Amino acid sequence: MAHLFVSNQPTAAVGEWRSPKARMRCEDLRVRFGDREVLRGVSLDMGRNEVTAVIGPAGAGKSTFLRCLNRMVEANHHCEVQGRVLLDGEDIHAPGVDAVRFRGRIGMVFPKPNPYPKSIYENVAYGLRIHGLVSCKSEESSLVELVFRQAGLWREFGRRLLAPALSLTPGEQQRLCIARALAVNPEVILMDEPCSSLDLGSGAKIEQMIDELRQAYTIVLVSHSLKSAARVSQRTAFIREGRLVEVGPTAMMFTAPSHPLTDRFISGYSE
Amino acid sequence: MMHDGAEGHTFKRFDGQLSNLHLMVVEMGQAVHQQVQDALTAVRTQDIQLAQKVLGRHQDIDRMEVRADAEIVEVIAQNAPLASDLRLVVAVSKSVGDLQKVGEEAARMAMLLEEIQLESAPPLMETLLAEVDRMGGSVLSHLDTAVGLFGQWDEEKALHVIAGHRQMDGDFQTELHRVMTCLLEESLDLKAAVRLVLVAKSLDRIIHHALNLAEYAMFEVYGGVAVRS
Repeated sequence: MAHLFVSNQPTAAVGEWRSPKARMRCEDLRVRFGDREVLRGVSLDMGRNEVTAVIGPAGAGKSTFLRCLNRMVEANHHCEVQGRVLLDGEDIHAPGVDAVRFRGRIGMVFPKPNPYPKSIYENVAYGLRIHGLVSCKSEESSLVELVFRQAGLWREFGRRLLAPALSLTPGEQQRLCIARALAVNPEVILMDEPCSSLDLGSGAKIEQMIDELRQAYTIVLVSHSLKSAARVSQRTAFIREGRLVEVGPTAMMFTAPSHPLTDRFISGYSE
Repeated sequence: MMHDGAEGHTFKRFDGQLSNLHLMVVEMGQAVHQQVQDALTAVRTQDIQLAQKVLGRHQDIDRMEVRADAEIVEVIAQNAPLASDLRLVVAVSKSVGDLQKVGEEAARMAMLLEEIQLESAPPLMETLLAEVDRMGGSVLSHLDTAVGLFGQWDEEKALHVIAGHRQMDGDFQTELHRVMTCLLEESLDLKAAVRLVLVAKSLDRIIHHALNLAEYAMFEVYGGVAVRS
């Protein structure tokens, strides 16, 4: 990773960015697309068994931040990244690190459900196969069932595994995508606006699912819906213009944030 | 106590609704202040007609609370406020409840007047009435300050009100002790003395409501738990 930036002093954010429960850690993360600096020294811990919500106005760098956590940001060849992203103490951006291996440990859910144009069963089984997690058909079907059960979706999908995934409602498709992300047994799940394309009821089911999944996973959630972030997260980070402005317990952030910019954003004041 | 920024909420009507909530507290505060002031005047001057006016206006206070509650529910339903807006709505919601109770205390004092009234009050009774009136003046001052915090935040004044209730606790105990001493010496009419103590107790309750108002205002500004100790 090239060291490209002159101004390397991290900007102090309000609140403690470190967490005693940290499983994933970003240190002075900086991202530039050509001349445009999108992230300007973000340091943040994401704790195990908790949901860390990342909030901020459009263009603040939230999604870029999320895509640094599984190196998806590198898909853009004009992108230059500086700083460290540690998973259990190991820098995933370090030279020589196999990005594909790390992506198996970090699942991702996108704003719009994007199931494969195959059966419900195949959407989960495919990941198991390509990651070499199954050796025979019976083991595969057992694991598929286990994945759906762990995701709390077996009752919903168990009787129609051979139905085309694209025949499902958008909410069902998104829940299937979450199950698919869980199939390869990740440690961290990144969620980029997982409810943004869903109606209220479907969004509520996803939120319920997130709440249950945090018992076993480290979850990082980017959301434009402040209400959704307030409901499902335990820790909230507010990013604005590429900088971490404030981080703290969600209850505190949504009732009595310390930084006036956080208060203005959460209260819905004009930028 | 609104945001200092020149720009308001993206949804402009929300700004108006929040301002209106503050205004409701101030207006209701002024109305109950007038009620307490008139009730005290009626007690001091033995003015039955003024006491009846206080009782007649009591329903207006209740109506103000009902209107404020409806406005609060509407603001929550439409805007689901967060952060400082949420604290404002919570503070206003709790404040109107306390103000309604202050209104009840004013009405209670007015109702007690008839029992206190004496054809020719003995000098001792006049002294006690003057003492209650002095307490009343202090209570009105604190209530006025507490309500004013919702118009313009002033931390020093808020802390003054919060500290003030301790002094008033002492005043009430002193008053009670004095009346009890007079009763033991059989120099006071029992019925009138009890009513006088009840007026003093109403004032004691009002100062606690004023303390609550100051705490709600402080919660609105800073968040966190109440500062009472």
